[in-house]
Amino acid sequence: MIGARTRANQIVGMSIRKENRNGGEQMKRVLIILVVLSLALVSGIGMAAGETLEVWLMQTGNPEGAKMVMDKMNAEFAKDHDGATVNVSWIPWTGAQQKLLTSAVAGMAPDISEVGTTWTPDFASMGAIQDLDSYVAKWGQKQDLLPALVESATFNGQLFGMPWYAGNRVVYYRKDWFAEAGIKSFPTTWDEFATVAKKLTKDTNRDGKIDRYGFSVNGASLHEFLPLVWMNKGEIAVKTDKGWKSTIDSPEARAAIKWFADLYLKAKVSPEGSVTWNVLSSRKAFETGQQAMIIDVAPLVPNYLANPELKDKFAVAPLPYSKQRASFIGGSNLVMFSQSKKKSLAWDYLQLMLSPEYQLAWADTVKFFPARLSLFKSPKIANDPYLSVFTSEMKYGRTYPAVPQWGQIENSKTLLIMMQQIMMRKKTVEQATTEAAKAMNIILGYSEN
Amino acid sequence: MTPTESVSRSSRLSPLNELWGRIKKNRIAYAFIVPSLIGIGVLILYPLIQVVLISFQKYYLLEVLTKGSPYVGFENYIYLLKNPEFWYSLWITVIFTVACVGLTILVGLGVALLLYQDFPGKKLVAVAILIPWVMPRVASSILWKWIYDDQFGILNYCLSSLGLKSFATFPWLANASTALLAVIIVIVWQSFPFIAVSLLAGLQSIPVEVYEAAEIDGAGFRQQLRFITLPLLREMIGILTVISTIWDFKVFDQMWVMTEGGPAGSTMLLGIRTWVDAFALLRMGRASALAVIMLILVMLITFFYLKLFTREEEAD
Repeated sequence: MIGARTRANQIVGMSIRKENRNGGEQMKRVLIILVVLSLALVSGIGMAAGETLEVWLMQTGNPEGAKMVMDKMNAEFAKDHDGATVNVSWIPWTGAQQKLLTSAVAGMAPDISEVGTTWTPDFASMGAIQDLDSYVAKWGQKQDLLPALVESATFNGQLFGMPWYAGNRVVYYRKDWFAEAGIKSFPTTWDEFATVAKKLTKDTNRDGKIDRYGFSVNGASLHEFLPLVWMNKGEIAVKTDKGWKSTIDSPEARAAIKWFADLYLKAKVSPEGSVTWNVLSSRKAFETGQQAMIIDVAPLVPNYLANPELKDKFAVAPLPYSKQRASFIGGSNLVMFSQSKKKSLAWDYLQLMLSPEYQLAWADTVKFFPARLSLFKSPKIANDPYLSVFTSEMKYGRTYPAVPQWGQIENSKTLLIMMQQIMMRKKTVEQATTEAAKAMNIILGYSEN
Repeated sequence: MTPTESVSRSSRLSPLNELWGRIKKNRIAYAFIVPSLIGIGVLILYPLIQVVLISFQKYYLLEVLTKGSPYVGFENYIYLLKNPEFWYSLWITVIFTVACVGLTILVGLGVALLLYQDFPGKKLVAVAILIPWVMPRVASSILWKWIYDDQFGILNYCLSSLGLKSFATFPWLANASTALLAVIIVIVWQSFPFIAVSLLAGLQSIPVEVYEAAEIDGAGFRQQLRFITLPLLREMIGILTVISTIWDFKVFDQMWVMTEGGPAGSTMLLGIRTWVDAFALLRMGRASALAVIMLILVMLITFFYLKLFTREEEAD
C-alpha cells in the first residue's frame, strides 16, 4: 500500500515537474482564464445558465413533502430557463418577519419570499417589495385569486404580493359527546353555542373537579376572537380622512368581546388557565379528550383521520355567529423584493408557483387551500366532507386591516393584553377596549398619544 | 550622531511615536493581543457605539428605507422617561433582580457550606448540582414551562396528589404574581450552581487553623459562620452579587420562553420591553435608548457595589 502511494506521488510529482518544464507560458494562460472567470462571477456578467434565484419559504409541517414539490418545480423551472437554479431556504415562522425586515434594511433580502398575509403591507410601505401590477396585468388571471388574500396584499391600491395559499378556521367538535348529551345539530348562533358548551362542560369521574370543558377561551390567540367583531357587524379599524382608526372600542366590538370573555368568566366553559392558552394548548386539550370544541385550521383533518382515537369521533362545522357570518382568512403571499436584480426571472418563477398544477400540489402538501378560486371546484376539495366545510366558510372570509402597522399591533400583543386583562378581571370590557383602541391608534399613527 | 543627540531627538517625539516605539519593542506581545482586541472591537465596541448612536435617532424600521433615520436628540429618552409602562417595567425588573440575586446567593451559600462538609457521595453531589447550570437556558426554560403547565404539569400533579386539590389545574403562568415567582425560581435554579462552586472555592481558601482556633475558643457553627466564614467571604460574595445582578437585570430568554412578558404584560421586564420596542414595534431608536438606559443602570449598580466593598476594606 505504502509503496503504491509513494509511486503515485512520484508520478504526480513528475507530471508537475513536466508542466513546469513546459514553461511559464501555459501557467500564464491558466491564470488569465482564472482571472476572467472570477471577474465574470464577481460582476455577474455570467451566462443565463448560471443565474440563481434566492427564495425563502416558511418551514411547513410536512418538510419532506414540501421539499419534493419544490424540487420538482425547480427542475421544471431550470429546464425552461437555461438551467437557472433556485436556492430555497426554509426559515421558521417564528421570527421570520423580523428576519425579513432586517434583511431588507441591510440589503440582504432574497429575490422572492413567502410572507404572512398580514405582513405584506409592512414591507410594501417600507419600499422593500416590488409592486406587481404591471406583471399581473400581463398575466391576466387576477380575478381568479381569492379576494380576501388580494385585499391583504394590496397597499395604496397596488398589488404587492401574489396570494399563494389560504387557510381559515372552523369548529372541530366531538360528535360522540354531542350524541351522548343529546345535542342533535351543531349550534349556528352564539347563544346556542354557549348553551351547548355549558352542557358539555362536566365532571365525568365525579371527583368534584371539572375534567371536560366545552370550549376554551384562549387568551393568547388572536384569530379566534377577532372575527367575532365582524360577526357582530363591527370593525377592528376603519379608514378615515386622518388615516386608520381603531374601532375595537365600538359597541359592536365590545359586545362581541364581552360575549367571548363571558364564556370564561360567567359560563365557565373554559379552563381557568386558558388566559395564557394559545391554539396549541386547546389543540392538545382536544386531542387528549379534555375539551369538546376547538376553533382550528384544516391541516388537523388528515392528522385526526389517521388517529384511531379520534377518527370516528370528530366532525367539523361552520363557526357560529351573531349577526352575520365571518371568518379570518390567513395564509401566505409571495413577494418579490425591490432589491432583486433578477426581477423578470423571479416573476417567471412566481407564475410557475401560481400555476394550477403547483397550486394544488402545494395546497395538498401543507393541507391548506389554493389561492385560486377555480381550484376550489377540483374534485379533491369539493368532494371532501371536511374540506368543503372550510371552503364554504371562505366565502365569508376577511382579513385584518391591510395597514403596514398591523404586524406591530399583533407582535406587541396589544389586543391579547386587552383580552387577558378582561379575563383576569383586571379591567372591565369598557376600560380594556378603550385602552387598546388608544394603543392601536398610536401604533396606527392616528393619534400622537 | 552622538548619544546626546539621539536622546534629545527622542525627547521631542510625540506621545504617539513613543507608543509606537513601545509597540515595536514588544511587538510579539502585542501581536498576541491583537486578535482579541479585534474581537472585542468588532463584537463589543462597534455594536455598543452603534446602539448609542441609534438611540439618538428616529430609527423606525418601516420608514428607514424611505425616510432614513434622522437624529432627534434626546427624544427617545424623553419618550421613555415619560412613559408609565417604562416605569412599570423598571419596577418589575428591580423586584425581579433583587429577588433573584438574593435567593441565588442564599441558596448558593447554603449549598457551598453543605459541600464543604465531608459526607459520602460528596463528589457526585458536587457534579450533580452543576446540571442546571450547564443545561442550555432555553431548553431548561421549556422544561420548566411544562412543569408549570396548568393541565399537564407535574407540579400540579404532585400538589394535587398531596391532597391540595385546589392546585389540580392551578394556572401558575396565567397569574401576574405567580408567573413572576415561577420564573424567579427557574432563574435561581439555573444560577445557584455557579455561585455555590465559586463560594466553595472561597471556603476552601480559608485556613483550617482559623476554624480550629475558634472551636477551641468554644465557637459553635453559627458563630463560626458569622465571625469567620462570612467576613472572609465578603469580598467574594460582593463580586458574585455584582455578577448576578448584571445577569439577572438583563434576563430575557427564560422570561420570554415562559411568559413572553404576559399575562397581560405583567412580567414585561426591561429586557423584554427592549425586544418588543425593537422587533414588535420596530422602533429601533427607542429600543436602543432603552438598552443604553439599562447599561447605565447596571454600570451604576456595579459602581455602587464596588465602592461599597472597597470602602469597607479601607475601614478594615
